[in-house]
Amino acid sequence: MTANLRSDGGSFKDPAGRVYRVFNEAGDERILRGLDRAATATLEKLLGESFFEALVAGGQVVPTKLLDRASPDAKHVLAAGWSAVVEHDPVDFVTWPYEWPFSMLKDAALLQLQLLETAAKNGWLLKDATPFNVQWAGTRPVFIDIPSFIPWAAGDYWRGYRQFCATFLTPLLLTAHLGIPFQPLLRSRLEGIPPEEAVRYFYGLRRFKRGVPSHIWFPARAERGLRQRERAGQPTRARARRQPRIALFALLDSLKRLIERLSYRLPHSDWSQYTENHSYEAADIERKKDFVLRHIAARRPALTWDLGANTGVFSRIAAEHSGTVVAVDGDQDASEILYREARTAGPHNIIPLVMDLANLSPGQGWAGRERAAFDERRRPDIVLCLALAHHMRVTANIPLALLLDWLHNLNATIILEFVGRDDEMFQKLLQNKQEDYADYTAGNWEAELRRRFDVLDRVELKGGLRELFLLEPS
Amino acid sequence: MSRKRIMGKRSLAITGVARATDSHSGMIGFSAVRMILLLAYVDPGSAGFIVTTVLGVLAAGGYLARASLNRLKRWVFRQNNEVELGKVASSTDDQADDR
Repeated sequence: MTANLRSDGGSFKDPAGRVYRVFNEAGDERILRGLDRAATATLEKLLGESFFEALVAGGQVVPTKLLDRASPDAKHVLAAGWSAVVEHDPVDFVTWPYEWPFSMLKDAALLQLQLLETAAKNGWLLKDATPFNVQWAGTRPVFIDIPSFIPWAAGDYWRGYRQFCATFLTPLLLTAHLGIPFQPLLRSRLEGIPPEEAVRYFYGLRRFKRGVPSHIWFPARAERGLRQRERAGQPTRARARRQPRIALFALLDSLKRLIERLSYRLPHSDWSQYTENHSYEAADIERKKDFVLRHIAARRPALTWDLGANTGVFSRIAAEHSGTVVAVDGDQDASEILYREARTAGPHNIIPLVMDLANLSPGQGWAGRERAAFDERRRPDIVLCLALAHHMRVTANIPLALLLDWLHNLNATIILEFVGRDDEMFQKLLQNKQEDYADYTAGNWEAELRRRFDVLDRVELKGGLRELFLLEPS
Repeated sequence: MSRKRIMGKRSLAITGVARATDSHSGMIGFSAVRMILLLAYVDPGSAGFIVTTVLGVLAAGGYLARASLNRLKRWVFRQNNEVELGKVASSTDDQADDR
């Protein structure tokens, strides 16, 4: 019996279908999609294609099946007027491209191109090209928007090219060529960076950098020319346009080779070097690791958040006994290192994200519901906050009470580290600060904790300068 | 900055010429004011066909050259492999003959 069926806030732009999230009494989630008549016929054809089966088997495309019309959940979706219902395997944790480090966006772009090339060789196209159609199964990108596959009509061109450039290629070029982080740009412009705006970053000799003349400068000129014609009252006439097939394959090949060569050089920021530069003695770091491992192993959470994960020392420990670990850090280099290492050497159930923890991803897009806020997607089972609270208090000026309120509202088990005022790292933070942060004391911390949580376990580190807590919301 | 350039940056612009319409009364007014939507109806993706065709055709030369080279490589290696396999087969036959 259906317990709860909700239409997905981000699935309304394509009139051919709509995604619904179904939760049963146990809280398990199913992802259903209603399709109109034309999309149903296309999907039935697609599901019979051997190349599509191979993509699903290879993990590049989300497993999808047509639901029996008589099933209770399907009936609810069909009642909304759809012709058929398909079910997709759910992803463990939904993320948005403006939270990904460079190499994650790069791998998602290469997946998009590979899928399009494979589809084109078999007479299909992808009608759009946005990174919002890619999600992550740990460190593996998975394409989730099955209705994007459409039959390739003879002579038709790739209509998703502009979107691909705006949302994948231009952000990658900005970071690779100019060192400009793409995340804040993509966060504010969900449709990506249009060529006429992108071209302003690549002025002077910068316009000759690899990929810029062809995929930014030329499209910007073409679009400007088109607008000028429209303004002059000479609109481009709609006429039958046919493009040779070779043009698509050649374009895809050149894009693939361009993106494969793009790299992000790690400038060795403070945080990416933290693993080597931390202030712990070997015995203390082992005690800390043991505390985390012991409590996570005892609970075996489906979803763990590691907030302030840095390069993922504790994310890796958590990953041994978690379904998925979402490792969040504000430092792009740290997340980049974690992704690169986890992708090649594992563990493969970590999703590294770049996010300022004092400015989490908000609800965005239409009505603020199209792209859900970070803390409104899926409740974590365990949250690691190791050596984070003092940064939130001193660097981000978040009062302890507000931080603890937010953690309490997550309704999860929390492993929290308190860094005392006498700790050398706290003293370092106070340099050049006029405020004394008088509320940041061990006594006040303890009192604020006990107002919101039950303390199940605790251990002192560094001779009492720091303390680890295992907390449950009270 | 030219008027044309300014217009290019706005989605809504007022075009018109302020002109003295009644010099006797000294009143100044607009003889013609025309409001037009400049960009809102032009889909920037309309240039997509031209852009992808030009870039695709430009890339096609290199693409075809690389594809031909790869085919040539495969053919050469297949020849070599067949030679190597032939050698292995003949040596195996020789061994069999020895026995």
